[in-house]
Amino acid sequence: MKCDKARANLSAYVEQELSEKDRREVSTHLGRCESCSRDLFAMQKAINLLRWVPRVDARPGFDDRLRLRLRTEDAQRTRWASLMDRVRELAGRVETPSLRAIFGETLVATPASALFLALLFGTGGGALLMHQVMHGELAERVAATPEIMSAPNVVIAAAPAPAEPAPIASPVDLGPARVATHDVAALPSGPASPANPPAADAVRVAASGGSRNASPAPQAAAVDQATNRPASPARRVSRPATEAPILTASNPSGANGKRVGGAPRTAGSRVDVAPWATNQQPIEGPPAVSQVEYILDLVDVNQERVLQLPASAVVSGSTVTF
Amino acid sequence: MKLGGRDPETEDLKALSDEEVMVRCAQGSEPAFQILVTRYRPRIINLITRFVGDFDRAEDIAQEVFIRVYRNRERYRKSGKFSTWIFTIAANLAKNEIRRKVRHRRVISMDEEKEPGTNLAATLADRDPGPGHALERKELEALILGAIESLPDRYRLALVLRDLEGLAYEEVSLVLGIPGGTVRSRINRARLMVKDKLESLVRTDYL
Repeated sequence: MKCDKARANLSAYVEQELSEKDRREVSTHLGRCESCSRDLFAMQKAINLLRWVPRVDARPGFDDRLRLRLRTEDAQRTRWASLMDRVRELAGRVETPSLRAIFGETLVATPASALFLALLFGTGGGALLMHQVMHGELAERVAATPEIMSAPNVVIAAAPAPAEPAPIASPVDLGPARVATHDVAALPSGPASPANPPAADAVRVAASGGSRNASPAPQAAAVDQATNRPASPARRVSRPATEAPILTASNPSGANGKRVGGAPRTAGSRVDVAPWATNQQPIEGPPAVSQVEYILDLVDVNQERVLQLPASAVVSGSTVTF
Repeated sequence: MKLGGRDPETEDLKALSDEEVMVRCAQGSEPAFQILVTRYRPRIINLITRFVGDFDRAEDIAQEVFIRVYRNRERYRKSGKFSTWIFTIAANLAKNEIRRKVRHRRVISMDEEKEPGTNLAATLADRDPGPGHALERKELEALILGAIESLPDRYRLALVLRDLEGLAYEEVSLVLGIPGGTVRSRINRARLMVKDKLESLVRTDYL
Protein backbone atom coordinates (compact mmCIF):
# COMPACT_ATOMS: atom_id res chain seq x y z
CA MET A 1 0.00 0.00 0.00
CA LYS A 2 1.23 3.47 -0.89
CA CYS A 3 1.02 6.60 1.22
CA ASP A 4 -1.86 8.13 -0.72
CA LYS A 5 -4.09 5.15 -0.18
CA ALA A 6 -3.04 4.83 3.45
CA ARG A 7 -3.86 8.50 4.07
CA ALA A 8 -7.23 8.07 2.41
CA ASN A 9 -8.03 5.33 4.89
CA LEU A 10 -6.74 6.93 8.07
CA SER A 11 -10.17 7.96 9.36
CA ALA A 12 -11.64 4.56 8.76
CA TYR A 13 -8.57 2.98 10.36
CA VAL A 14 -8.89 5.13 13.47
CA GLU A 15 -12.56 4.30 13.79
CA GLN A 16 -12.04 0.64 12.98
CA GLU A 17 -14.31 0.83 9.98
CA LEU A 18 -12.00 -0.96 7.56
CA SER A 19 -12.33 -4.53 6.46
CA GLU A 20 -9.87 -6.92 8.04
CA LYS A 21 -7.84 -7.10 4.85
CA ASP A 22 -7.62 -3.29 4.46
CA ARG A 23 -6.91 -2.82 8.13
CA ARG A 24 -3.93 -5.20 7.91
CA GLU A 25 -2.58 -3.44 4.83
CA VAL A 26 -2.80 -0.02 6.44
CA SER A 27 -1.29 -1.32 9.63
CA THR A 28 1.64 -2.83 7.74
CA HIS A 29 2.18 0.45 5.88
CA LEU A 30 2.07 2.49 9.07
CA GLY A 31 4.68 0.21 10.60
CA ARG A 32 7.23 1.22 8.01
CA CYS A 33 6.17 4.78 7.10
CA GLU A 34 6.94 7.38 9.73
CA SER A 35 5.22 10.18 7.81
CA CYS A 36 1.90 8.35 7.70
CA SER A 37 2.31 7.32 11.32
CA ARG A 38 2.72 10.96 12.26
CA ASP A 39 -0.39 11.80 10.26
CA LEU A 40 -2.28 9.07 12.05
CA PHE A 41 -1.19 10.37 15.42
CA ALA A 42 -2.04 13.94 14.48
CA MET A 43 -5.41 12.94 13.12
CA GLN A 44 -6.29 11.12 16.31
CA LYS A 45 -5.43 14.23 18.27
CA ALA A 46 -7.42 16.40 15.89
CA ILE A 47 -10.46 14.17 16.29
CA ASN A 48 -10.10 14.37 20.07
CA LEU A 49 -9.90 18.14 19.89
CA LEU A 50 -12.98 18.29 17.66
CA ARG A 51 -14.94 16.19 20.10
CA TRP A 52 -13.68 18.31 22.96
CA VAL A 53 -15.26 21.47 21.57
CA PRO A 54 -17.87 22.61 24.10
CA ARG A 55 -21.45 22.29 23.01
CA VAL A 56 -23.72 25.26 22.81
CA ASP A 57 -27.38 25.42 23.65
CA ALA A 58 -30.09 27.93 23.06
CA ARG A 59 -30.47 30.95 25.27
CA PRO A 60 -33.25 30.96 27.84
CA GLY A 61 -36.58 31.77 26.30
CA PHE A 62 -36.04 29.68 23.20
CA ASP A 63 -39.20 27.69 23.87
CA ASP A 64 -41.21 30.84 24.53
CA ARG A 65 -40.02 32.38 21.30
CA LEU A 66 -40.83 29.18 19.47
CA ARG A 67 -44.31 29.17 20.95
CA LEU A 68 -44.81 32.77 19.92
CA ARG A 69 -43.68 32.06 16.37
CA LEU A 70 -45.99 29.10 16.10
CA ARG A 71 -48.91 31.13 17.34
CA THR A 72 -48.10 34.03 15.06
CA GLU A 73 -47.81 31.76 12.07
CA ASP A 74 -51.04 30.04 12.99
CA ALA A 75 -52.77 33.39 13.02
CA GLN A 76 -51.21 34.37 9.70
CA ARG A 77 -52.22 31.08 8.17
CA THR A 78 -55.75 31.57 9.35
CA ARG A 79 -55.90 35.02 7.83
CA TRP A 80 -54.32 33.81 4.63
CA ALA A 81 -56.70 30.89 4.40
CA SER A 82 -59.59 33.26 4.84
CA LEU A 83 -58.27 35.54 2.12
CA MET A 84 -57.68 32.64 -0.21
CA ASP A 85 -61.19 31.37 0.42
CA ARG A 86 -62.47 34.76 -0.65
CA VAL A 87 -60.26 34.83 -3.74
CA ARG A 88 -61.31 31.28 -4.56
CA GLU A 89 -64.92 32.27 -4.22
CA LEU A 90 -64.52 35.24 -6.53
CA ALA A 91 -62.06 33.78 -9.00
CA GLY A 92 -63.88 30.51 -9.27
CA ARG A 93 -66.89 32.26 -10.68
CA VAL A 94 -65.34 33.41 -13.86
CA GLU A 95 -62.61 32.52 -16.26
CA THR A 96 -60.17 35.29 -16.79
CA PRO A 97 -59.88 36.19 -20.45
CA SER A 98 -56.75 38.25 -19.99
CA LEU A 99 -54.98 35.47 -18.21
CA ARG A 100 -56.09 33.10 -20.90
CA ALA A 101 -54.70 35.43 -23.49
CA ILE A 102 -51.41 35.60 -21.66
CA PHE A 103 -50.93 32.04 -20.55
CA GLY A 104 -53.10 30.02 -22.87
CA GLU A 105 -56.36 28.27 -22.60
CA THR A 106 -55.43 26.02 -19.75
CA LEU A 107 -55.10 28.78 -17.24
CA VAL A 108 -58.25 29.80 -15.56
CA ALA A 109 -58.75 31.79 -12.45
CA THR A 110 -57.94 29.60 -9.54
CA PRO A 111 -56.35 30.37 -6.20
CA ALA A 112 -53.23 28.69 -7.50
CA SER A 113 -53.04 30.96 -10.48
CA ALA A 114 -53.81 33.89 -8.24
CA LEU A 115 -50.91 32.97 -6.05
CA PHE A 116 -48.75 32.38 -9.10
CA LEU A 117 -49.59 35.82 -10.40
CA ALA A 118 -48.95 37.38 -7.05
CA LEU A 119 -45.54 35.73 -6.93
CA LEU A 120 -44.78 36.53 -10.54
CA PHE A 121 -45.86 40.12 -10.63
CA GLY A 122 -45.88 41.03 -6.98
CA THR A 123 -48.27 43.77 -6.16
CA GLY A 124 -48.95 44.33 -9.82
CA GLY A 125 -50.00 40.73 -10.16
CA GLY A 126 -52.34 41.12 -7.25
CA ALA A 127 -53.75 44.23 -8.84
CA LEU A 128 -54.18 42.38 -12.08
CA LEU A 129 -55.92 39.58 -10.30
CA MET A 130 -58.26 41.94 -8.56
CA HIS A 131 -58.80 43.62 -11.88
CA GLN A 132 -59.80 40.27 -13.27
CA VAL A 133 -62.03 39.50 -10.37
CA MET A 134 -63.73 42.84 -10.56
CA HIS A 135 -64.25 42.49 -14.25
CA GLY A 136 -65.38 38.97 -13.80
CA GLU A 137 -68.12 40.09 -11.53
CA LEU A 138 -68.90 42.92 -13.83
CA ALA A 139 -69.07 40.57 -16.77
CA GLU A 140 -71.58 38.50 -14.89
CA ARG A 141 -73.64 41.55 -14.22
CA VAL A 142 -73.44 42.62 -17.82
CA ALA A 143 -74.41 39.18 -19.00
CA ALA A 144 -77.35 39.22 -16.67
CA THR A 145 -78.35 42.69 -17.76
CA PRO A 146 -78.74 42.69 -21.53
CA GLU A 147 -79.89 46.25 -21.63
CA ILE A 148 -76.44 47.44 -20.69
CA MET A 149 -75.00 48.97 -23.80
CA SER A 150 -71.72 50.34 -24.85
CA ALA A 151 -70.43 52.35 -27.72
CA PRO A 152 -68.15 50.55 -30.16
CA ASN A 153 -65.13 52.30 -28.90
CA VAL A 154 -66.24 52.25 -25.32
CA VAL A 155 -65.68 48.91 -23.81
CA ILE A 156 -67.10 47.59 -20.69
CA ALA A 157 -64.25 45.52 -19.52
CA ALA A 158 -64.47 41.78 -19.78
CA ALA A 159 -67.82 41.92 -21.36
CA PRO A 160 -68.71 38.42 -22.49
CA ALA A 161 -68.12 37.59 -26.09
CA PRO A 162 -71.32 37.45 -28.03
CA ALA A 163 -72.21 34.16 -29.58
CA GLU A 164 -73.17 35.52 -32.96
CA PRO A 165 -72.23 38.48 -35.06
CA ALA A 166 -74.46 41.37 -34.59
CA PRO A 167 -74.45 44.59 -36.50
CA ILE A 168 -74.06 47.72 -34.58
CA ALA A 169 -77.50 48.84 -33.92
CA SER A 170 -78.52 52.26 -34.83
CA PRO A 171 -77.55 54.43 -31.98
CA VAL A 172 -79.35 57.42 -30.86
CA ASP A 173 -76.45 59.76 -31.15
CA LEU A 174 -73.55 57.80 -32.41
CA GLY A 175 -72.43 59.62 -35.43
CA PRO A 176 -71.41 57.82 -38.57
CA ALA A 177 -71.09 54.10 -38.30
CA ARG A 178 -67.87 54.41 -40.24
CA VAL A 179 -66.27 56.14 -37.35
CA ALA A 180 -67.24 53.36 -35.04
CA THR A 181 -66.05 50.76 -37.50
CA HIS A 182 -62.75 52.51 -37.85
CA ASP A 183 -62.28 52.57 -34.14
CA VAL A 184 -63.05 48.95 -33.81
CA ALA A 185 -61.00 48.03 -36.85
CA ALA A 186 -57.99 49.57 -35.21
CA LEU A 187 -57.83 46.24 -33.52
CA PRO A 188 -56.15 43.63 -35.63
CA SER A 189 -58.80 41.00 -35.49
CA GLY A 190 -59.81 41.97 -38.97
CA PRO A 191 -63.19 43.31 -39.73
CA ALA A 192 -65.07 44.37 -36.73
CA SER A 193 -66.91 41.27 -35.81
CA PRO A 194 -68.86 40.93 -32.66
CA ALA A 195 -68.16 37.21 -32.80
CA ASN A 196 -64.64 38.14 -31.94
CA PRO A 197 -65.30 41.23 -29.98
CA PRO A 198 -62.43 43.58 -30.50
CA ALA A 199 -63.46 45.66 -27.58
CA ALA A 200 -63.00 42.80 -25.21
CA ASP A 201 -59.62 42.09 -26.71
CA ALA A 202 -58.66 45.66 -26.22
CA VAL A 203 -59.51 45.31 -22.60
CA ARG A 204 -57.39 42.24 -22.38
CA VAL A 205 -54.43 44.02 -23.83
CA ALA A 206 -54.82 46.93 -21.56
CA ALA A 207 -55.46 44.83 -18.54
CA SER A 208 -52.54 42.56 -19.16
CA GLY A 209 -50.24 45.55 -19.11
CA GLY A 210 -46.58 44.81 -19.48
CA SER A 211 -47.18 41.12 -19.90
CA ARG A 212 -48.94 41.49 -23.19
CA ASN A 213 -45.87 40.38 -25.11
CA ALA A 214 -46.26 36.94 -23.63
CA SER A 215 -49.74 36.77 -24.99
CA PRO A 216 -50.26 34.27 -27.73
CA ALA A 217 -53.18 36.29 -28.92
CA PRO A 218 -52.32 38.11 -32.12
CA GLN A 219 -54.54 40.95 -31.15
CA ALA A 220 -52.14 42.22 -28.57
CA ALA A 221 -49.24 42.75 -30.94
CA ALA A 222 -51.49 44.24 -33.54
CA VAL A 223 -52.76 46.76 -31.11
CA ASP A 224 -49.22 47.83 -30.62
CA GLN A 225 -48.80 48.17 -34.34
CA ALA A 226 -51.94 50.16 -34.64
CA THR A 227 -50.97 52.55 -31.95
CA ASN A 228 -47.22 52.26 -32.20
CA ARG A 229 -47.09 52.66 -28.48
CA PRO A 230 -46.82 50.19 -25.68
CA ALA A 231 -50.05 49.42 -23.98
CA SER A 232 -50.34 50.83 -20.52
CA PRO A 233 -51.25 48.59 -17.67
CA ALA A 234 -54.67 49.00 -16.26
CA ARG A 235 -54.78 51.66 -13.65
CA ARG A 236 -57.43 52.57 -11.26
CA VAL A 237 -57.63 56.23 -10.54
CA SER A 238 -60.33 57.47 -8.34
CA ARG A 239 -62.07 60.38 -9.88
CA PRO A 240 -64.98 62.39 -8.75
CA ALA A 241 -68.04 61.86 -10.84
CA THR A 242 -67.77 65.27 -12.42
CA GLU A 243 -64.38 64.43 -13.90
CA ALA A 244 -65.18 61.06 -15.31
CA PRO A 245 -64.21 60.92 -18.97
CA ILE A 246 -66.78 59.78 -21.38
CA LEU A 247 -66.01 57.90 -24.52
CA THR A 248 -68.31 57.64 -27.42
CA ALA A 249 -68.02 57.37 -31.13
CA SER A 250 -68.12 61.08 -31.36
CA ASN A 251 -65.40 61.34 -28.82
CA PRO A 252 -63.04 58.62 -29.93
CA SER A 253 -59.99 60.04 -28.31
CA GLY A 254 -61.57 59.75 -24.97
CA ALA A 255 -59.32 62.45 -23.72
CA ASN A 256 -60.15 63.43 -20.25
CA GLY A 257 -62.25 66.51 -20.17
CA LYS A 258 -63.52 66.20 -23.70
CA ARG A 259 -67.23 65.73 -23.65
CA VAL A 260 -69.61 64.58 -26.24
CA GLY A 261 -70.73 67.51 -28.24
CA GLY A 262 -69.02 69.79 -25.83
CA ALA A 263 -71.27 68.71 -23.04
CA PRO A 264 -70.34 70.36 -19.79
CA ARG A 265 -68.45 68.31 -17.30
CA THR A 266 -71.01 68.20 -14.69
CA ALA A 267 -72.87 65.53 -12.94
CA GLY A 268 -76.02 64.56 -14.66
CA SER A 269 -74.59 64.63 -18.16
CA ARG A 270 -76.17 62.28 -20.60
CA VAL A 271 -74.10 60.29 -22.96
CA ASP A 272 -75.70 58.34 -25.70
CA VAL A 273 -73.94 55.17 -26.57
CA ALA A 274 -74.46 52.43 -29.06
CA PRO A 275 -76.04 49.17 -28.08
CA TRP A 276 -73.54 46.51 -27.46
CA ALA A 277 -73.71 43.67 -29.90
CA THR A 278 -74.58 41.11 -27.32
CA ASN A 279 -78.17 42.11 -27.70
CA GLN A 280 -79.26 41.88 -31.28
CA GLN A 281 -82.83 42.58 -30.56
CA PRO A 282 -83.81 46.18 -30.64
CA ILE A 283 -84.75 47.39 -27.28
CA GLU A 284 -88.37 47.96 -27.08
CA GLY A 285 -89.88 50.26 -24.61
CA PRO A 286 -88.05 51.94 -21.83
CA PRO A 287 -85.26 49.73 -20.62
CA ALA A 288 -84.86 49.01 -17.01
CA VAL A 289 -82.40 51.19 -15.28
CA SER A 290 -79.48 49.30 -13.94
CA GLN A 291 -77.35 50.79 -11.27
CA VAL A 292 -73.84 49.54 -11.77
CA GLU A 293 -72.43 48.99 -8.39
CA TYR A 294 -68.88 48.54 -9.48
CA ILE A 295 -66.58 51.09 -10.94
CA LEU A 296 -66.50 50.43 -14.63
CA ASP A 297 -63.14 50.37 -16.27
CA LEU A 298 -63.27 51.65 -19.79
CA VAL A 299 -60.55 51.36 -22.30
CA ASP A 300 -59.86 53.95 -24.85
CA VAL A 301 -58.43 51.95 -27.71
CA ASN A 302 -56.68 54.92 -29.28
CA GLN A 303 -55.20 56.05 -26.05
CA GLU A 304 -54.71 52.55 -24.73
CA ARG A 305 -55.72 53.80 -21.41
CA VAL A 306 -58.12 52.39 -18.97
CA LEU A 307 -60.52 55.00 -17.83
CA GLN A 308 -63.23 54.84 -15.34
CA LEU A 309 -66.79 55.62 -14.87
CA PRO A 310 -67.85 56.51 -11.40
CA ALA A 311 -69.69 53.97 -9.38
CA SER A 312 -72.69 56.19 -9.52
CA ALA A 313 -73.01 55.79 -13.29
CA VAL A 314 -76.39 54.55 -14.33
CA VAL A 315 -76.67 52.50 -17.47
CA SER A 316 -80.09 52.64 -18.95
CA GLY A 317 -80.57 51.15 -22.33
CA SER A 318 -78.35 53.10 -24.67
CA THR A 319 -77.78 55.85 -22.19
CA VAL A 320 -75.28 56.24 -19.45
CA THR A 321 -76.21 58.83 -16.92
CA PHE A 322 -73.77 60.34 -14.50
CA MET B 1 -49.65 25.37 20.48
CA LYS B 2 -48.60 24.86 23.98
CA LEU B 3 -45.05 24.47 25.10
CA GLY B 4 -43.73 24.01 28.56
CA GLY B 5 -45.57 23.27 31.72
CA ARG B 6 -46.26 20.00 33.47
CA ASP B 7 -48.55 17.55 31.88
CA PRO B 8 -49.40 14.04 33.06
CA GLU B 9 -48.81 12.83 29.54
CA THR B 10 -45.31 14.22 29.56
CA GLU B 11 -43.98 11.72 32.07
CA ASP B 12 -45.23 8.84 29.97
CA LEU B 13 -43.73 10.32 26.86
CA LYS B 14 -40.30 10.60 28.41
CA ALA B 15 -39.97 6.85 28.39
CA LEU B 16 -40.70 6.55 24.70
CA SER B 17 -38.25 6.56 21.83
CA ASP B 18 -37.97 9.58 19.56
CA GLU B 19 -39.91 7.81 16.88
CA GLU B 20 -42.74 6.90 19.23
CA VAL B 21 -42.89 10.42 20.57
CA MET B 22 -42.98 11.77 17.05
CA VAL B 23 -45.88 9.50 16.23
CA ARG B 24 -47.72 10.94 19.22
CA CYS B 25 -46.84 14.40 17.99
CA ALA B 26 -48.24 13.57 14.57
CA GLN B 27 -51.43 12.51 16.31
CA GLY B 28 -51.72 15.97 17.79
CA SER B 29 -50.00 15.62 21.14
CA GLU B 30 -48.50 18.95 22.13
CA PRO B 31 -46.51 17.53 25.06
CA ALA B 32 -44.93 15.14 22.57
CA PHE B 33 -43.72 18.06 20.50
CA GLN B 34 -42.35 19.69 23.64
CA ILE B 35 -40.46 16.52 24.46
CA LEU B 36 -38.87 16.52 21.03
CA VAL B 37 -37.90 20.15 21.35
CA THR B 38 -36.32 19.47 24.71
CA ARG B 39 -34.42 16.45 23.43
CA TYR B 40 -33.15 17.91 20.21
CA ARG B 41 -32.78 21.61 20.86
CA PRO B 42 -29.16 21.36 22.05
CA ARG B 43 -28.12 19.11 19.20
CA ILE B 44 -29.82 21.20 16.55
CA ILE B 45 -28.49 24.46 17.96
CA ASN B 46 -25.01 23.01 18.20
CA LEU B 47 -25.05 21.59 14.70
CA ILE B 48 -26.26 24.79 13.10
CA THR B 49 -24.01 27.03 15.16
CA ARG B 50 -20.93 25.02 14.26
CA PHE B 51 -21.87 24.91 10.63
CA VAL B 52 -23.09 28.48 10.16
CA GLY B 53 -20.74 30.06 12.68
CA ASP B 54 -23.33 32.54 13.91
CA PHE B 55 -25.14 31.76 17.12
CA ASP B 56 -27.93 34.29 16.68
CA ARG B 57 -28.75 33.06 13.22
CA ALA B 58 -28.41 29.50 14.43
CA GLU B 59 -31.14 30.09 17.00
CA ASP B 60 -33.46 31.49 14.36
CA ILE B 61 -32.76 28.59 12.06
CA ALA B 62 -33.23 26.09 14.87
CA GLN B 63 -36.63 27.60 15.53
CA GLU B 64 -37.44 27.20 11.89
CA VAL B 65 -36.36 23.57 12.12
CA PHE B 66 -38.82 22.86 14.91
CA ILE B 67 -41.56 24.80 13.19
CA ARG B 68 -41.07 22.64 10.12
CA VAL B 69 -41.13 19.52 12.22
CA TYR B 70 -44.42 20.67 13.70
CA ARG B 71 -45.93 21.74 10.39
CA ASN B 72 -44.90 18.51 8.69
CA ARG B 73 -45.55 16.18 11.59
CA GLU B 74 -48.14 14.25 9.67
CA ARG B 75 -45.65 13.47 6.94
CA TYR B 76 -43.25 11.74 9.29
CA ARG B 77 -42.98 8.00 8.75
CA LYS B 78 -42.03 5.89 11.72
CA SER B 79 -39.94 3.64 9.49
CA GLY B 80 -37.21 6.28 9.46
CA LYS B 81 -35.19 7.48 12.40
CA PHE B 82 -36.46 10.74 13.78
CA SER B 83 -32.93 12.00 14.32
CA THR B 84 -32.15 11.52 10.65
CA TRP B 85 -35.29 13.36 9.68
CA ILE B 86 -34.74 16.37 11.89
CA PHE B 87 -31.03 16.55 11.09
CA THR B 88 -31.87 16.52 7.41
CA ILE B 89 -34.18 19.47 7.91
CA ALA B 90 -31.53 21.25 9.94
CA ALA B 91 -28.77 20.53 7.44
CA ASN B 92 -30.85 21.79 4.54
CA LEU B 93 -31.76 25.01 6.34
CA ALA B 94 -28.16 25.50 7.40
CA LYS B 95 -26.97 25.03 3.83
CA ASN B 96 -29.55 27.54 2.68
CA GLU B 97 -28.18 29.99 5.21
CA ILE B 98 -24.66 29.50 3.91
CA ARG B 99 -25.85 30.11 0.37
CA ARG B 100 -27.66 33.23 1.52
CA LYS B 101 -24.54 34.51 3.22
CA VAL B 102 -22.48 33.86 0.13
CA ARG B 103 -24.97 35.76 -2.00
CA HIS B 104 -25.01 38.71 0.34
CA ARG B 105 -21.36 38.72 1.16
CA ARG B 106 -19.89 42.08 0.61
CA VAL B 107 -17.07 42.36 -1.80
CA ILE B 108 -13.93 42.38 0.24
CA SER B 109 -10.52 42.68 -1.23
CA MET B 110 -8.31 39.69 -0.87
CA ASP B 111 -5.93 41.68 1.29
CA GLU B 112 -8.62 42.51 3.75
CA GLU B 113 -10.17 39.09 3.79
CA LYS B 114 -9.37 37.15 6.86
CA GLU B 115 -9.59 33.44 6.45
CA PRO B 116 -10.25 31.77 9.75
CA GLY B 117 -7.50 29.48 10.82
CA THR B 118 -5.02 30.68 8.27
CA ASN B 119 -2.60 32.07 10.80
CA LEU B 120 -3.03 29.37 13.38
CA ALA B 121 0.46 27.99 12.89
CA ALA B 122 1.99 31.44 13.23
CA THR B 123 -0.15 32.14 16.24
CA LEU B 124 0.95 28.99 17.93
CA ALA B 125 4.59 29.35 16.86
CA ASP B 126 4.72 32.70 18.62
CA ARG B 127 3.70 31.12 21.82
CA ASP B 128 6.14 29.70 24.23
CA PRO B 129 5.05 26.08 24.72
CA GLY B 130 7.03 25.75 27.89
CA PRO B 131 5.88 23.99 31.00
CA GLY B 132 3.07 25.58 32.84
CA HIS B 133 1.95 27.46 29.82
CA ALA B 134 -1.28 26.20 28.42
CA LEU B 135 -3.59 27.75 25.94
CA GLU B 136 -6.51 29.28 27.60
CA ARG B 137 -9.57 27.19 27.16
CA LYS B 138 -11.38 29.86 25.22
CA GLU B 139 -8.42 30.47 23.03
CA LEU B 140 -8.06 26.80 22.22
CA GLU B 141 -11.75 26.60 21.48
CA ALA B 142 -11.48 29.56 19.14
CA LEU B 143 -8.59 27.96 17.29
CA ILE B 144 -10.46 24.72 16.77
CA LEU B 145 -13.63 26.49 15.70
CA GLY B 146 -11.57 28.61 13.33
CA ALA B 147 -10.16 25.46 11.79
CA ILE B 148 -13.67 24.05 11.36
CA GLU B 149 -14.92 27.30 9.90
CA SER B 150 -12.14 27.35 7.36
CA LEU B 151 -13.28 24.08 5.81
CA PRO B 152 -15.25 24.10 2.58
CA ASP B 153 -18.97 23.76 3.25
CA ARG B 154 -19.41 20.18 2.12
CA TYR B 155 -16.52 18.96 4.26
CA ARG B 156 -17.52 21.06 7.23
CA LEU B 157 -21.07 19.75 7.38
CA ALA B 158 -19.98 16.13 7.18
CA LEU B 159 -17.34 16.71 9.85
CA VAL B 160 -19.75 18.47 12.20
CA LEU B 161 -22.36 15.74 11.83
CA ARG B 162 -19.81 13.04 12.49
CA ASP B 163 -17.36 14.45 15.01
CA LEU B 164 -19.38 17.07 16.82
CA GLU B 165 -22.80 15.44 16.72
CA GLY B 166 -21.63 11.86 16.70
CA LEU B 167 -23.84 10.62 13.89
CA ALA B 168 -22.94 7.28 12.36
CA TYR B 169 -21.59 7.27 8.84
CA GLU B 170 -24.84 5.78 7.59
CA GLU B 171 -26.81 8.56 9.24
CA VAL B 172 -24.55 11.21 7.76
CA SER B 173 -25.09 9.59 4.41
CA LEU B 174 -28.87 9.77 4.81
CA VAL B 175 -28.85 13.32 6.13
CA LEU B 176 -26.67 14.62 3.33
CA GLY B 177 -28.15 12.37 0.69
CA ILE B 178 -24.78 11.16 -0.54
CA PRO B 179 -23.28 7.66 -0.75
CA GLY B 180 -21.47 6.19 2.23
CA GLY B 181 -18.18 6.13 0.37
CA THR B 182 -18.45 9.82 -0.34
CA VAL B 183 -19.20 10.48 3.31
CA ARG B 184 -16.09 8.57 4.40
CA SER B 185 -13.99 10.39 1.87
CA ARG B 186 -15.26 13.80 2.91
CA ILE B 187 -14.81 13.14 6.59
CA ASN B 188 -11.31 11.81 6.05
CA ARG B 189 -10.34 14.85 4.01
CA ALA B 190 -11.96 17.19 6.49
CA ARG B 191 -10.02 15.67 9.35
CA LEU B 192 -6.77 15.90 7.43
CA MET B 193 -7.46 19.58 6.73
CA VAL B 194 -8.25 20.27 10.36
CA LYS B 195 -5.09 18.41 11.35
CA ASP B 196 -3.09 20.64 9.04
CA LYS B 197 -4.74 23.76 10.45
CA LEU B 198 -3.97 22.68 13.96
CA GLU B 199 -0.52 21.43 13.04
CA SER B 200 1.34 22.93 15.97
CA LEU B 201 -1.22 21.66 18.43
CA VAL B 202 -1.46 18.12 17.23
CA ARG B 203 2.22 17.47 16.51
CA THR B 204 3.70 18.56 19.81
CA ASP B 205 3.38 15.28 21.64
CA TYR B 206 4.52 12.96 18.91
CA LEU B 207 7.52 10.92 19.99
